[in-house]
Amino acid sequence: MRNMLTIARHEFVTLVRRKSFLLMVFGLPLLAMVMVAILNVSAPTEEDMMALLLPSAPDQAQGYVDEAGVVSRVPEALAPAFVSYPSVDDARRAVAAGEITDFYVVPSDYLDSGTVISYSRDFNPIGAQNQVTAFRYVLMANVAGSEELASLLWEPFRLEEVAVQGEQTEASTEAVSYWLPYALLMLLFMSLTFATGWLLQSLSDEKDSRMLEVMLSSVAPTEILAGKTIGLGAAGILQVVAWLGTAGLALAVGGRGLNIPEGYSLGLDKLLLGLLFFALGYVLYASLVAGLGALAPSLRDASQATIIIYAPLFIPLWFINSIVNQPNGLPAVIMSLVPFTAPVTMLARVVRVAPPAWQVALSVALLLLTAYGSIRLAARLFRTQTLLSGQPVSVASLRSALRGD
Amino acid sequence: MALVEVQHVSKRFGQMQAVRDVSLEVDQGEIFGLLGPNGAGKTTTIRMMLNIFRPDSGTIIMMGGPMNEDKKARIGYLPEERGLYRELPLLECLVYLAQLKGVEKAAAEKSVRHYLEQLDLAESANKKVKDLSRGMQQKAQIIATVAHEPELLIYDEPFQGLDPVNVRRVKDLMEEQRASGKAIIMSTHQMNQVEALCDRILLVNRGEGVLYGRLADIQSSFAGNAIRVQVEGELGPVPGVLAMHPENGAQRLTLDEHTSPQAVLASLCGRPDLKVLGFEVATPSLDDIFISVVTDASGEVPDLHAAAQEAIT
Repeated sequence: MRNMLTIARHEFVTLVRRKSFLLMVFGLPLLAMVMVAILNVSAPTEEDMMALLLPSAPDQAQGYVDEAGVVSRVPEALAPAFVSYPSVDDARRAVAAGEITDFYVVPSDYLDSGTVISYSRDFNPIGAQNQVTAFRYVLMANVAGSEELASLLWEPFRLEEVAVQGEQTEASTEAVSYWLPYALLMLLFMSLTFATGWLLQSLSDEKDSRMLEVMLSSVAPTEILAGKTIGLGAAGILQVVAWLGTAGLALAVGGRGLNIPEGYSLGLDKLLLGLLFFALGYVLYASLVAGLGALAPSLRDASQATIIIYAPLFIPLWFINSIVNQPNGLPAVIMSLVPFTAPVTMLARVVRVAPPAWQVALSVALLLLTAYGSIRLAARLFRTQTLLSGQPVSVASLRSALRGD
Repeated sequence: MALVEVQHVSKRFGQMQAVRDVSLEVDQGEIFGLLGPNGAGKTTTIRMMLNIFRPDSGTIIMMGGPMNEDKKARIGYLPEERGLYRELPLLECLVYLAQLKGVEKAAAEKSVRHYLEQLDLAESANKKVKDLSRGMQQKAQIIATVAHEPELLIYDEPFQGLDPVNVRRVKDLMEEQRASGKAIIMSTHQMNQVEALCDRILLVNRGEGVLYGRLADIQSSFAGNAIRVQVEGELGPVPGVLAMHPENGAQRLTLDEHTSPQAVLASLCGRPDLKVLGFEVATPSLDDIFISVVTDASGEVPDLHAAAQEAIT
């Protein structure tokens, strides 16, 4: 136990002191923040965004003849583009003189009929819609009596979602159920990828520098493996947390947030349960990769094979619809009990419902048992002649390793 | 009570019998030489002692019982294929390895600094291991073996890559350790170092123990009735001498079975035409014994360097 912590601390400190690590953990997010800041400076404000929803002024000036007397003023943004004429003849002359390209006539019975007549020099079926849209907004502003009311009528549905604490709506939990497992899987996968990559590198370095025999003569193989897994896992989590923190900071600086319904909360018990499954999933997969690292003759061979080990992690995503719609259904229950799919499946279920306690307990027990067995197995591989000789794996050497000879 | 007891131990790797029925004991306060050509099974025997490999048969008793994890901290092991963390500063690397042997960090640093001084490496304490010369790394590895003050030290080729000055330093260190009651197992090909340091030896050949016991007794048992003399003047015929041939500036005289070295010495001292400069009973060198023992039945000396590779290296 003591050696395990010494190894964990050594691996963690040695790694986080590396320039490449510091660059990846802090350099990349810093770069991302700078980019976000640059984008933010040129990003449109909320008013700008609203303005984008409203029609823009036509490229060329247009005229209108208000026979109904409804257009008292043209909205400021559109005013330069619209010229009022007292009669249709005046407007025609203006078109002939090239002052305007087209004009609208608002007939005297407009308020009853809603009909507007458009006169165009060159009819353009593609551009017509945009031209008509702008004058439609002019009429709306005048009929409604104010620009504010007109803009509200123009875009009446500006949605903000709020979840009432303790009474989460079906819709909001369903949305979270979809993306949270993905997010947690990515978190787990990223931590695993980084940490197991370093683990393989560390094992490979010790093979190359011939340190393993010295280590094996000092420390139990299980302690070596567990120490490396914990130390490098902590570094992997540090990296992900640093990235998430930077992302959150960047969003905060940019005045934005994640698309989580306001007031939505996972709850401490579910959060702890999620963390437990996260940790157990990490230990299980990291130990499998460590066993692979012990067997593989080179770092490259080991790295190529890790994707096969990670494959079961993604199985729950293929069934995410089933898990979300029927969180206590048979497929969800089975996958949350099988240790290799349990971490992601259980996280997805926990978001939706509180799974029966016996299922959680059994799942944790099976995961613990498998993780322990996996560490023991990997530790046996550590002490083998395969590890010491760096020779290719054969069935005989594998059998011998598993026997612990 | 012996610190190490290896009793009739055998180990096979596939078709190859790496170790066959080897037995030995190592006591406190002695330097024990484990000798043999490459591939003889020395390293495999050491790895079985350390529980890195398990023997197929036989028993190994370390410090009064079976080897276990706790006993690892009481053993210092310098493996034949050795290394250090190349990217770490030397002091940090050695302190970490001592910590893994159960020493508190402060005590580990104190001990490491002491040995860095003793082996003339103090000025390199903060250099990265990869920036040290091969000889310096070798000394650093010896420090990693001894820094936690183990009761049992196992050195596999401890003088490899060292110049004469540093060989002397390491020999002094080993003699200090023996004097302080520690048990030392040394596996090496350098017979002159074995002769200089070892109290007892086991010579292993093709996985089997072929010579075992006190070094002086073994050398005596291989000594014929011969003397080595160095004289000023013409030696000429000497009564009781069957053969005479030059050897390293002296003459090696093989005596008949009725003639004692003392009689020859008296005879030579009585001759006015000779001045005796040196006289000794000729004991065979360990090199001679080693070669004669590992010579195969056909009388050919095996190529020790190209011989079968160590079982697992």
